[in-house]
Amino acid sequence: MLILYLLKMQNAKEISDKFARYALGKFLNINGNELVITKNQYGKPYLVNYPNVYFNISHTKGAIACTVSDNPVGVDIERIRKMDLRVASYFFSQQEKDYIFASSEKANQRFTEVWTKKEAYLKFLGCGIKIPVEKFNVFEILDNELIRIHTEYNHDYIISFCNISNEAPDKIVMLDSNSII
Amino acid sequence: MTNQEKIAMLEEMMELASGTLREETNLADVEEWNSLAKLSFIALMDETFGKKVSAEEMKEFKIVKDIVDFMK
Repeated sequence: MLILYLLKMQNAKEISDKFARYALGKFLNINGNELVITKNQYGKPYLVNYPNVYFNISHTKGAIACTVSDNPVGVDIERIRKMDLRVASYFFSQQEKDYIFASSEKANQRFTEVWTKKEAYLKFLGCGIKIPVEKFNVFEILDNELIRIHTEYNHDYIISFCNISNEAPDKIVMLDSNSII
Repeated sequence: MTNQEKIAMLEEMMELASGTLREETNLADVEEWNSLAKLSFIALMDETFGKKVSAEEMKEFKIVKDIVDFMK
C-alpha cells in the first residue's frame, strides 16, 4: 500500500520533519515523534526501527508531500508555473521533448509533469542525482512493468511518485496544518 | 554585470520578488532554490556566461554570494 500525504501551507519546508513524523505516525498508528529517522549515504531518509516501511518527502512553494509505503518509494511535488522551457533542451530526452512541445498550450504543465517523474524516479533509486537527468527517458521507465511512476494533479501542483508496487489502493490524504503544528 | 544585476537574474529565475535575495542569504532558507531552479541555473550559466556548472559545484553553494561569484 502507498499513501500520499499532502499539506498546503506557506513555508512548508520549515515543518518538513514534523510533517514526515505526523504522516508516518498516522501510517503506523503510533506517535511519530518517537520514530528514529536517519539518512543513507546519499541523503535519502529512512526509518531505523521499521526497515520495511519506506517514505519520501518533497516540498515546493506552498506545499509539501510525503509518500509512505511498504515498498521503496520516491516522490516529487512541483508547482505549475511559467518555466524557462529552454531547460528542456539540456536535460530531457527527445521523446520527453516531443511530449512537452507537442503544442504550446500547457507546455509548462507537461514540462513540470516530466520533471516530477524524473525526480521521483531518482528519489526512488535513492542515490541522489548521480544519474545525469538527460541520460534516461521517463517514457522508457513507464514501459518497465516492474516500476511504476504515477502522477497526480492537484490544482496548481503536480505530484509524481515512483515505486515497485502495484498493490492497490493508493490513497491521498490531505492534512491540515493545524493538526501538525 | 554588477552583483545586484546577477542577484536580480537569480530572483527572476526563481520567481522571487525583487529584493528578496541578499548576498548573505542562506540558500538552505530559500525554498525556491530547488532542483528545478538548479537546472535553470545550469542553462542560464551556459547561455549567458558560456560556462558549465556541475552538480558537485552547486553543492558548494551555501549563500547567494557563492552563486554570484560563480556568475562570471
